Amino acid sequence: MRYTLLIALREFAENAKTKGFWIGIFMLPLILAISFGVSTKLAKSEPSRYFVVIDKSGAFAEPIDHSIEWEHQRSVLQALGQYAQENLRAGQKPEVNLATYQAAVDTFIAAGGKDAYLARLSPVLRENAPPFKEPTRLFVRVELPREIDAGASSDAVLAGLKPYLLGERRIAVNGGEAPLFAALLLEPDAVAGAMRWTGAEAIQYWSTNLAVNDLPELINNALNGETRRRLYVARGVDVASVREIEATWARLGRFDPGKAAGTETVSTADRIARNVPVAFVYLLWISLFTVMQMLLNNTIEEKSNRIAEVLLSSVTPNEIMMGKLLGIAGIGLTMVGAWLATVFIAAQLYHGAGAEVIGPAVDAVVASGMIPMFLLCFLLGYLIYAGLFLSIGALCNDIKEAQSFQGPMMLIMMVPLFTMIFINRDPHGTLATILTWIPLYTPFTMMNRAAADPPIAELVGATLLMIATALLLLWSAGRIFRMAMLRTGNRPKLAEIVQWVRGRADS
Amino acid sequence: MSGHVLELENVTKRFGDFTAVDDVSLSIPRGSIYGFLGPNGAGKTTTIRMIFDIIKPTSGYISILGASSALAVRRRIGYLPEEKGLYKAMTAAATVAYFASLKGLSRKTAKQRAYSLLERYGLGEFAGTRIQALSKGMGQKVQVICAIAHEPEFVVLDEPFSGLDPVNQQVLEKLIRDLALLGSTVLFSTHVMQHAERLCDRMLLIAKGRKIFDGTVASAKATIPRRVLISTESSIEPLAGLDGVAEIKQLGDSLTNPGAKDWEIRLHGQTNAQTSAQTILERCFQGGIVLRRFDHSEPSLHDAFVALVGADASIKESP
Repeated sequence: MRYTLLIALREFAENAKTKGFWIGIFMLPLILAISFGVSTKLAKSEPSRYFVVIDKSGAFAEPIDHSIEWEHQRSVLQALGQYAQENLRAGQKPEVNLATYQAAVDTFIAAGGKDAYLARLSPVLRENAPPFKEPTRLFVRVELPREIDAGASSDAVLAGLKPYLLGERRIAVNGGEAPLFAALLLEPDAVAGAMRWTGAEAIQYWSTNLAVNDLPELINNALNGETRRRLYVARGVDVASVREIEATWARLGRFDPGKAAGTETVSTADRIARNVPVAFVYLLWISLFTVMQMLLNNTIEEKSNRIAEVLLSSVTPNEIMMGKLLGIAGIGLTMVGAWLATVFIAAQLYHGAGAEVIGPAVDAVVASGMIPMFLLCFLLGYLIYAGLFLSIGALCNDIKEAQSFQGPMMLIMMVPLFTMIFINRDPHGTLATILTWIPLYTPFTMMNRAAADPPIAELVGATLLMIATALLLLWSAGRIFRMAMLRTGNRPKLAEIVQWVRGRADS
Repeated sequence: MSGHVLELENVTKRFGDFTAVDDVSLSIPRGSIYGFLGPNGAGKTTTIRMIFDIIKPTSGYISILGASSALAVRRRIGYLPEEKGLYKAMTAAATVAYFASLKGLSRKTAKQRAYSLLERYGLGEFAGTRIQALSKGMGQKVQVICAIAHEPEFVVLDEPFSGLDPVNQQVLEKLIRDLALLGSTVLFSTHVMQHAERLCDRMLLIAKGRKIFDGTVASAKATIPRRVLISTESSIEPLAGLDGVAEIKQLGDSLTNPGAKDWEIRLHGQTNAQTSAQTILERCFQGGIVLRRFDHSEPSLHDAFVALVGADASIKESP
């Protein structure tokens, strides 16, 4: 055991001393933090996008303007909610409703918008609260360029707009210039054409940007709203009443029968916790993948640098193998431990938007037993994959040779990533059940199903399967390791490897 | 305590149909420097790997320091394999200390021993240098130090001189002698006969997996017939039938003496070679043989090696 520990210690120290290890430890939380921060910043600093409307029908320009403005007011209300959360005095609650469902936004607009709400919020805000910054208007309708005659044929108008839409020319905006993001062309028969699904389109949205769908969706909402309003009027329905009725929002209570009596209500935190297994699967994958690379590289180094022979004169092949397994497992656990600790500490320290949900979600994750499950899946998954990667390392003369094995192994290891979302959505479905019983995927699948309380029989069975597979693969790896570590030159054939595993070869 | 640190009895190793080591027996006396010689592919490394229980013999018995497995006495033995290699990212001192601790030394003692040995063999200033930054020769010295840091009773050095420059070869020769002086037994394999000639008390020669000689260096040299080489333009008729001469053989035209021919005069093994050579020289003067060359140098171990390896792989043993 002393020699196994000495080897484990050296493996741990060698890997822990590398820059790669420390970059790995800090990189993942850093990338997550940067991604979160950057996406939040980018969302806040998204530039205004300008579009023109050529409304030959005379029916839709105003509803579109209204729709764009309403959406902007909704984003203002959302920003106000976040502002209030960040700047409320302790123990204070805002008097106004800062939710962003339709009726709440309508109330906000009717009450006078931002200024009115800020006036009512100010008594409960911190004294040194910064001034509220209104979000940028994401979409702004501008006038057609002067040289384009709105009354000309549609083809002529579009031909005139093309240089602007292609970025060759810039449109005049508030004394300056900006690129034209989109153009909406409404033919004279647009009202009737809106419901016509054959022939030429009476309503055409032109833009080179196919990724941003917010603007066409907003326009579509406006078109639908106006078309329906006209139909209501035509049929004598009171439009104001319809609008009022449509603004209602039914309350749906969600309950989980699996929770303790009296606490069955499903909160947002519960729903987040329910999706956490996907994050754990990803963490499991990335940690296993990282440590397997280390194990493979170290094994190949010992073989290609002929260190194995010196080691074998001092310790048994099993002591070497167990030492390597322990050392690299230590590295893996340190890495995931650091990652998990970072997430929990960050969750404790975070007080920004969504903090009221993140804290309880973390508590729910801790209470759910997912962390012990993660550690179990990591350890058994580690032993299963270590059996394979140790064998590959021992069989290859150098890293180049190992790459030919790594390709197929990578593809095999990618399956849990491709399937993790589907398994999370249907944790007891056919896919989840099948993958549970394929040993290479059992750790990932069981981790993913952890929050959905899989049947106890499956849980025990899958654990036993992982243990049995790990033992079998490590036992085989032990035999391959002993035979292959001193062998150089041509890679052994499969039949020879089978002979080694069966113990029928000359050592 | 047995007088032998290592005993092999009828050891054979087969890999499938190939016999790498064929019925080899040997005994290495305690405190000796023992040469293990043989051409490439003779089975030296396979034998050494069996000695260290890295691979198992197909048949036969091995006893090392009285144990049947080297792992049982790993603290008392040291090994430098033919294929040298170390962890590139480790420093020289950490490497020596690590391998010494694998041989049973406490981590503290291993560390102290590492620094002291590196200092003694001229690598003190490189103790903190990573292996990858050392020259090949320095790396090899570090590995030799790894093999002896735990002060083993028995050290096996497989081709320790390969890749070393002449200066470092001398350092290594000194190190081997130091080990013997301190009471260790050293077994080393080599292709370079000069090292064996200078260092060995005894030597074992194997070829094609079979032992072909086991004895002292002097007795190895004695296995080849003594000879006198001459170059002359004269007839060598006067030398025919001379006492002590076993055979006279023409080697062809002399390359160094134009017009002369080279002759090899083989002497009887039983006669005094010095006396026989003197008799031949006297007969040459008496018979009017004009000599361009008269060579009666001692055969080297190299000559013995070539002669023995070239001969049938029959066992030749001498005291």
